Amino acid sequence: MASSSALTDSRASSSAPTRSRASSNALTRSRVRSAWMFMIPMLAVLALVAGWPLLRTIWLSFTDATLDATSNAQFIGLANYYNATWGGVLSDPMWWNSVWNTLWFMGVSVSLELVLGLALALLLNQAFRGRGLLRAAVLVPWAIPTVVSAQMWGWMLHDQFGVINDMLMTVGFISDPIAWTAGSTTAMWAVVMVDVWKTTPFMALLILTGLQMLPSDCYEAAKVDGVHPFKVFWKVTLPLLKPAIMVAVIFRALDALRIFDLIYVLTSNASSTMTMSVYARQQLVDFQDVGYGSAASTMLFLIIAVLTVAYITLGKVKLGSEGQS
Amino acid sequence: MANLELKGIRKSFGTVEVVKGIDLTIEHGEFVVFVGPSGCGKSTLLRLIAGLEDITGGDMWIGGERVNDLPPAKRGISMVFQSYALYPHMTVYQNMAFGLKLAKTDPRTIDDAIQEAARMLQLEPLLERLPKQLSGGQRQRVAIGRAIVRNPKVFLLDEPLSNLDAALRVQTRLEIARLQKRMNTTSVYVTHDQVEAMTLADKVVVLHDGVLEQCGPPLELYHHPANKFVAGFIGSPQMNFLKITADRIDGRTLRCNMPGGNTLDLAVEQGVGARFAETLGIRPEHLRLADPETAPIKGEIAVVERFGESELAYVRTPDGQSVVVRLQGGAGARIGTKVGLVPLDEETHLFGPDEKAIPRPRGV
Repeated sequence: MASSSALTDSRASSSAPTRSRASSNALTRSRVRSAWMFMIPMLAVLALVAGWPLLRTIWLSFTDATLDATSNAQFIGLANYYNATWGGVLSDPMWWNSVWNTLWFMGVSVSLELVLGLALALLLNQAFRGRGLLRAAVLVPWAIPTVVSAQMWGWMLHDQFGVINDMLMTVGFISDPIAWTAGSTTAMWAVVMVDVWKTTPFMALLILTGLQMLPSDCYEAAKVDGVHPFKVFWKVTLPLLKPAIMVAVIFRALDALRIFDLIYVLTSNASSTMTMSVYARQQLVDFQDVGYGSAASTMLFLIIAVLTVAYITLGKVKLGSEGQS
Repeated sequence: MANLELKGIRKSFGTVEVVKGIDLTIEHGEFVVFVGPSGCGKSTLLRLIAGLEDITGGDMWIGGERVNDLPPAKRGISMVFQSYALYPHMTVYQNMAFGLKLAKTDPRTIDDAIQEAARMLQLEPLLERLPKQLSGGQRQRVAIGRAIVRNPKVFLLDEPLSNLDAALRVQTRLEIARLQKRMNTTSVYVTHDQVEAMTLADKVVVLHDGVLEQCGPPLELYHHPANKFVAGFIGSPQMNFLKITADRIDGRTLRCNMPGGNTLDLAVEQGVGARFAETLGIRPEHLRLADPETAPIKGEIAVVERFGESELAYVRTPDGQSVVVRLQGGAGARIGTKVGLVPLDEETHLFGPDEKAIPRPRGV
């Protein structure tokens, strides 16, 4: 069913340009006009809430604006990015530390979430009693506001009063309490663990949607062919699930690249876990250097844009209808 | 050699029994068609043979081996699905090779089998294409090809033509018939289309509500239906059923009191309860026009459908029953004309109160 609709889609799309060129008549023009009428409000809102702040941030990054004086800022060109006298963002080791931290966090947390989310999705896709209840239950960590869950984990991970240290000491895994969120080696892992706990359900849900769209008859064909279930997973399920997985990963990767709240609540401005967003906030708010902070924000925007384009190109992710063929 | 034997096969889903004790023997090389209306259990029965559903009761043998507890792959069957069930991400070649490759078959053997199947099904130019680049008919052929390369003992087809358009359906039907004769593999084919059943089958199995109504060669079912259901299901347009009463006038003759007051005398066997006949069945093609005064069936033409080579006249009897009669093309039947109809004696069927056919002397 899905494949046959894809066939008609591709036929339709291949014949569309000729058709529109051949019959550029009044009806077509009025259709285009009404399409624009429906699009304009959305485009206006997008320009207002996304386009304007973005452009303003890029503009501010070229100025020496401070938090108390954004209006009389002077244009200073690319000095916030790089200059010979005091460096700029690109020569700040703290910035590159935060870039590395962000990329590391993204790589590790998204990988773990993908593996766990896939396993969870496969489990939730099986028919068993209470499946609906479980599907709803796994969403609880995702439903809790990040600040709340981060604070909750902050207490649980507390070095003196935290329940985690208490449990590990009772069982005997550790003899002395560990300062999970303060130690430079454990802090990042603590953050990754909390993020995995929180967003695996989201990943699982996206992959589950993909699983439910897989053609069930293929599995019966594989059964008749006598293909081992493990092989079926690698040779049938995974390739067919690829578009759904790619989309889920892209969502999570974008979220992970601009991670802020979880890290800020758990570890504040600690350098061992500082991400690009935390760095930018520190510059903007704590140091009140709006120009410099905007430069960091613009760099963050560029890095995310480059990574996204690279990911889509390399992975050949089709975000349109063709992806679900 | 692979014959298929079903003994008292039952299948329940929860408390609902959908297959209610089927006994059936299929000989090696036979082409058997399961036919029946939707929900009659024909697809379920096929899936039971395939092993995609567990048998609730009864026994099944394929080639002398009891297969009740064998998984599909060990039963020596292959199956063509209604929706083709091709792997969307694999080429035609990979689709056909997949099962064999994972069964660790020698690559040369796989290639030979695929080339052979591709030649038979004219798939050679399509081997490197993906399913989405194929038309419905081509996908269907790939699905058949994938089933052939496994060299099965029993070939199962689940409504393989139902997703094709009318012209392609006729063409593919012929191809399947040719292919089956050539390979001489025991085949079971499920359809709801009685035309497919009649044209393809060596043996037709009519199912209704999970019960085997009748099983036999197509023409046996056409000429000698075992009951009113089979009589109505086989043949198009449907057989006419007229409510009648009957009196036995001597040992071998039954007088039927027809709607409209005339009578029809039919030869019957003795001791078969012919006197209790309640329904007279006659196919549209087995009626001929006659004088309205004396003919056993009379009425007025209400609707005429013209097909060119033939015409169907819908005749309304005085008591409001409808009788369809097939006339020659150009017969010029007119709405409102009063007509009389005479049934062909040896093609007239009688059904008792239990809807079973009352046997009539053959070859009179």
